[in-house]
Amino acid sequence: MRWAAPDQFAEFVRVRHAALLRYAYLLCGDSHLAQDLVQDALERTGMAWRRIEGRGDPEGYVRRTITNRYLNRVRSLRRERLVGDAPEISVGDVEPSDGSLLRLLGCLPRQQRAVIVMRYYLDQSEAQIAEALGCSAGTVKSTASRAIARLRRELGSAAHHQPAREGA
Amino acid sequence: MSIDPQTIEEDLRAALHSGPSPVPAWPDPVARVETGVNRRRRRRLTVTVAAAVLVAGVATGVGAITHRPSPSASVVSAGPVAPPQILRRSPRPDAQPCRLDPASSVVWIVQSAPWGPSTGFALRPNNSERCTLSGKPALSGINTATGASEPIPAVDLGALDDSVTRQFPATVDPGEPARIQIRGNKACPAGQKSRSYRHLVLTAGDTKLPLPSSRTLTGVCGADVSGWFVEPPMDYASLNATLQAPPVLRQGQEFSYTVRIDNVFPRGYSLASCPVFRLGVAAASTGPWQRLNCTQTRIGAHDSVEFTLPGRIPPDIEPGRHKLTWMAVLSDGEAAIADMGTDGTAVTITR
Repeated sequence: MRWAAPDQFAEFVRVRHAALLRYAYLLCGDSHLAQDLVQDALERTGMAWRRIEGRGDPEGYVRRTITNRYLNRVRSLRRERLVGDAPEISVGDVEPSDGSLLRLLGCLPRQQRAVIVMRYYLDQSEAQIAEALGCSAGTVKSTASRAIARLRRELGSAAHHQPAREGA
Repeated sequence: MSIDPQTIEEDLRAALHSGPSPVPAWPDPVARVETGVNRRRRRRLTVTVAAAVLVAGVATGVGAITHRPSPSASVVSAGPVAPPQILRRSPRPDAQPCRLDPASSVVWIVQSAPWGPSTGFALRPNNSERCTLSGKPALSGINTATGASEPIPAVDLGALDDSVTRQFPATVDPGEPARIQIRGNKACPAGQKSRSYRHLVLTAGDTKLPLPSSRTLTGVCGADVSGWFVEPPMDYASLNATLQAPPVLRQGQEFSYTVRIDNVFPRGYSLASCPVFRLGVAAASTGPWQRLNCTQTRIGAHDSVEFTLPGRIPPDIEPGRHKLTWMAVLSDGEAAIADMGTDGTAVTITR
């Protein structure tokens, strides 16, 4: 028998999927991968909607799923690489569609990028991020600190290489 | 939006929230998710039924499942089990048509993986974004008897073998190969003489795609060219597996190795029922699929389980440096592969 989304899940998908797509995009910097991640997370959520809804915070569950699948994903691609005549599959370039921001985020390792997005986009506390990523709050703090330091360095380097503006 | 190193935290917060979303909302998100959930439910049903049949078979034939082994007992099933159903990436919605240009060429690829080698023709479109390659190209080649270039008659040889999972049409990301299968028809109708062809060329629209010159069709009466497809990657469990084995092994040697499975995430991971696994040397299997007689069905958050398992190096394997590969498939069809980062555990095999 064909499964139909329960009313509340359907409403959740309709109302929140756009925000989830944005979150996934900020995490990975690739619009197609973002759609895959959200689709996958929503399908998993739909499969267990009653249980997830019963626990409260379904959006938190979906976001955690997106984050974990994203952090887990690159390992998958490495396994599926081809040998022989064909070169390796590219992991996908970051789309530089949002000024310097996404290019900058693209220079961060995945874990650092996830922490930055969770902290500055979701406004989550260190404890919340730690819970979602399965690490200590101290690790989140040091990861965020390293990420910010790296972004500062990259910004400094970009500013150094930028030609002087007229009249500046 | 520009970001200043001095005010980076405030700027980041503002920048992440500002502007339209780079990913447009879906036209009908509920229908899209419902379709995916139904596909998953069908796959899960298949996996569950297959697992139930296996358990019933083993329970009646061997009696190993109903009695969990003590730590000293064997941790693997008494006999081989059927190859598992592996979950794979869901089919993608069609994207923009792929761009093919005269520089595009079809390559012959060999995919080496723990579940077996996979070979075939592949094409990497020149798109910088996801695109879809659909339709069936025409095949032509140089008739080796006459030296003339001619179309190779299309024949229908029925469905492709199901040893590989395929999704049609091929919706691929940049760098991902779209595949195609070409099968020569060896069964010539009465009175028709077979032909051989070299310098094969696929024609898709206005674009001619030459095949590698090493690939020929010999003694055929036409060929069946499939549509473009992808072999979707597997769905991976959120587990890390690590294999430890003696660094030097002999051809035909029986040995013990250890697999440690770590749950690196902050929630428990339910195994539901014991996974099946297979040990390999690169893409070649060293034996059949077997089931782990695990004594626990859950790996706690940040916890790990370890199994010491028996293995055997095939006696006919070429001596030298190889990689041992280990793959487990869980009851829901997700896979865990040992040492993904290094494509396996390095061993030296001697005579």
